[in-house]
Amino acid sequence: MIDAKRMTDSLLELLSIPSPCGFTDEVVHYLSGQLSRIGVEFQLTRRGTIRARLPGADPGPARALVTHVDTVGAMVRLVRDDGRMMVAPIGHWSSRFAEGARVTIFSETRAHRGCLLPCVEWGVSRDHGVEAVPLDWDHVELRLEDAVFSAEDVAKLGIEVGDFIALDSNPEVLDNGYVVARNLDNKAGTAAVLELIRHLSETKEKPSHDTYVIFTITETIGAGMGGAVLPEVSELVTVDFASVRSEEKSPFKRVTLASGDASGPYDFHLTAHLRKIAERAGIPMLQKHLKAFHSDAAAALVAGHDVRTAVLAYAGDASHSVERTHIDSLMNIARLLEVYVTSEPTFSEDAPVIPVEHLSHQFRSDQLPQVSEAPNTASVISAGNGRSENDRDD
Amino acid sequence: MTEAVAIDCAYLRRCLLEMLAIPSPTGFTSEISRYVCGELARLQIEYRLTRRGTIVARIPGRAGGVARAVANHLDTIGAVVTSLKSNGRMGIAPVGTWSSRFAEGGRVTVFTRDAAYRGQVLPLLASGHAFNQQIDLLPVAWEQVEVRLNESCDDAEGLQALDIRSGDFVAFDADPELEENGFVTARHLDNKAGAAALLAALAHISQRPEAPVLDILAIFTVTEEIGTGASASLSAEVVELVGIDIGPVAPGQNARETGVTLCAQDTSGPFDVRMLRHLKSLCREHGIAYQVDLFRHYYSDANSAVKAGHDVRDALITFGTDGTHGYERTHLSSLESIAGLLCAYAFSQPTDVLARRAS
Repeated sequence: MIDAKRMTDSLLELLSIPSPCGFTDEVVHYLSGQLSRIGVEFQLTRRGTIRARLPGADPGPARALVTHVDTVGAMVRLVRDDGRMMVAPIGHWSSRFAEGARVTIFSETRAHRGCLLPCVEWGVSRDHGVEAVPLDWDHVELRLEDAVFSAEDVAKLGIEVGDFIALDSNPEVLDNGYVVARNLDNKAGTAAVLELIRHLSETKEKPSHDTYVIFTITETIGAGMGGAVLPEVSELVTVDFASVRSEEKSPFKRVTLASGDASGPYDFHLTAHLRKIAERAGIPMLQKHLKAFHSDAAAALVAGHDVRTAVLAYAGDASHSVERTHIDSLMNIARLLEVYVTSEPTFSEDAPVIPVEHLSHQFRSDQLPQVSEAPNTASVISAGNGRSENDRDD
Repeated sequence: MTEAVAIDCAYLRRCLLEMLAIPSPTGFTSEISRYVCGELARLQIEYRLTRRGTIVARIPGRAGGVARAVANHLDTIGAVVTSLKSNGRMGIAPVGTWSSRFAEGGRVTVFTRDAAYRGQVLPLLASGHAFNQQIDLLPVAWEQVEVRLNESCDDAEGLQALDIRSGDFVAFDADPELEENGFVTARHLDNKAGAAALLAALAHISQRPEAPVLDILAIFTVTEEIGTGASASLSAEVVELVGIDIGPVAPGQNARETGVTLCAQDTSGPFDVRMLRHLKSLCREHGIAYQVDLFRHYYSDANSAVKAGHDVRDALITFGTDGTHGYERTHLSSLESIAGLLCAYAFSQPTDVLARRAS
C-alpha cells in the first residue's frame, strides 16, 4: 500500500539532513541505506548520483524516474573585519527568503550555527533604516552564534570563504495534510518516489519495463544528469516541486503535468500518455506551462540524451521560500507513478534510430481548416510523405 | 612541509609573451593551437587534436585506465565585423562577453581571407575638438563604437575593395608590459597566462624522473569564451577536471594577484568540495599561498564539461587578475604558484576512492 504515514516519515527524515547542492554526500548515504533496506539494486556514479533499477516484466525501452535531492543553500563569500560574513546563494533564489533563516555552516572539520540577517551598516541600529536596505545578496550577512568579533576570530574557528551554509528546514506537518518547510523542493518529491519503490517492492508488483530511479544531486544548478542516463532509456519523467496559484480551486490535491518550461516544451507524446493514464486512474491533474521553471529533464537533453521527457509536479506554494505542499498531492504523485511504470510504453518500438514509418504523427492533415490562397497543407503532406498502414497514432 | 616545486620561470615568461603575440579570438584559434602543439612536441609530450582544434596532451601516469584532466582555454575575447559603413569604417560585435568600454582605443588587426589590416576601435564621436562634451554623453555600447582602418578608404566600397566582409575577425592587440617587479599588464592574460603556467607545469612534470600518479590529460580548449570549451573533449577515463583560468580581483572579492585563488563557486554553482579541500591541503603542504573566492559573473570550461553530462569532480584554480576582460594585470608569482600547484596535484593521490584504488 502506498502509505501516507510512512511517506511523511521519510520526508521528515530527508528534511533533517542538510544537502545544499554540492554538499549532498550525507543525503546520498541516507537514500542508499533506505534502498538497501528495501532490497532494491542500485549504483552510484562517481559524484554520488544514485541509479536504482526496478527490473521490468518485459524487455523493451527502459524508463527513468528522476528526482533531485539537492536543495538551495548558500556559501561564505567574504569574511568581514567585524566577524560577520557575506554570503552567495547556491542555486537561484531570492535573498528576501534568506533573511531570518537559521543555518548551519560547515567548515572542514566542524559545524557551526548561525542566522542570515539583513546587512545594516555597521554601527547603525537595526531598528532604524532597515526598510531602506536593498533586497539582494549584497545586503545579507551571516551572524555566527559564537563569540566572534573580527575576521581573525572567524579564522580561528576554521571557517573560510567557500564553506557551505545549509538552511534549517523547520518542518511542520498539520492534521489537515499541509506540510510546511524549507527544502520541500525536492525532498517531498523524493519521499513520494521512495514510497513508490517501497510499495512496488512489498506488493512484488513489477513495472512493465525496466525502470531506473535516478536520485540526482545537482538539479539546483541545472546540471543534474551527471552521466546517470543509460542508453536504453527512452522515457524520462522528472518529479519536482511547482508553485500553483492559490486562486485555483482546491489546487493542493492535484498533480501538475508541465507541458513545458523555460527550457522549452517537453515531449508531446509522453506528456499526452501521462495525461491519458491520469484520467483513466481518476487522478486529478492539471496541465500547465511552467514559465520560470527548470528541471533535470532539460539537463538530460542538454547533456545530449535523446530521450522523451516529461515533468510531474506536486502542488507547492512559495517555492525556494517557506515552502508548502499537501500530502494528498504527494500521494497522487506516487499513485500516478505507479500507474505510469506499470503502463505500456508510449511507443513500444522506441529505439535510438528508427525508420520513418515509426516516426509518430502529431496532427492529422484532415484536422486542418481550409484557408484560401494558402498552399493546402494536407495535399503537401500526402504528396511528399503519405501515411502508410504501419504508421503509428498516439 | 614538502619542498616547493621548482618551476622554470624563464620558460613560463617566454611562453606567455609568445602566446600574447598570437591573435586568437574564439573561432580564430588555429594559429595558437599550432603554437601549443609545437611546444608540446618540443617537450616530447604526446597529444591529439580534435576536429575543431582542441588539444588533448597526455603524460602517462603510473596507473592506466583512469585519468585526471586539467583544462585551459586558448581562445580570447575579440570582435567580428558586422557592417561596412558608408563612412569607410566598420561596425563590430563582441566575441565573448565583454564591455565595449574596454574596446574603445583598442588597436586591432582585421583578418580578411587573404590579408590583415591594422586599425583602431573608436567611439562614434571620437574627436574632442569636433564634439567637445557630447563625447561624454555617448552611451557605452557596441553600437556606439566603430573600427577605423589605417587604410585609405572613405566609404563602404573602399572596404569592399579591401575584401572586408561581415563576419571577418577582429583581434585586439595584447600590448604586454612586464615590469621588473613581476607585474604583467596586457589584454588576453585571460587565458594565455593560464596556458603559460600550464605549459611550464607540463615541462616540469614530464621532466621528473618518476611518472605522475594517474595519466594527466592537459586539455587546451578553443571555445571557452562562448561556453562550450570542454563539452566534447573529455573521455570516460577522466575522473577529475581542474580548470585553470583568470580570477577577478576587485572590491568585495577575495582574489589576489599573488598566490593561487581557488574558486569555490561560480555562476554555474559550487565546485566539487572534495577537490577544493584537496587542493587547499596541497597548497599548505607545498608552501603555496592561496585564497578561496566565489565568482559571481563567471563561467568556465568545467561547467561546459558537467553540463555536457560528464560525471567528473571539478575544480577551478585561478591567477588573481585586476581589470578582467578589460586592461588586465596579474603578477608572475601567481602564475608560478599555479604551475607549482599543478605539479603538486599531478603527484598527489586522487580524491576519488576508486581512482585511488586503481593507482
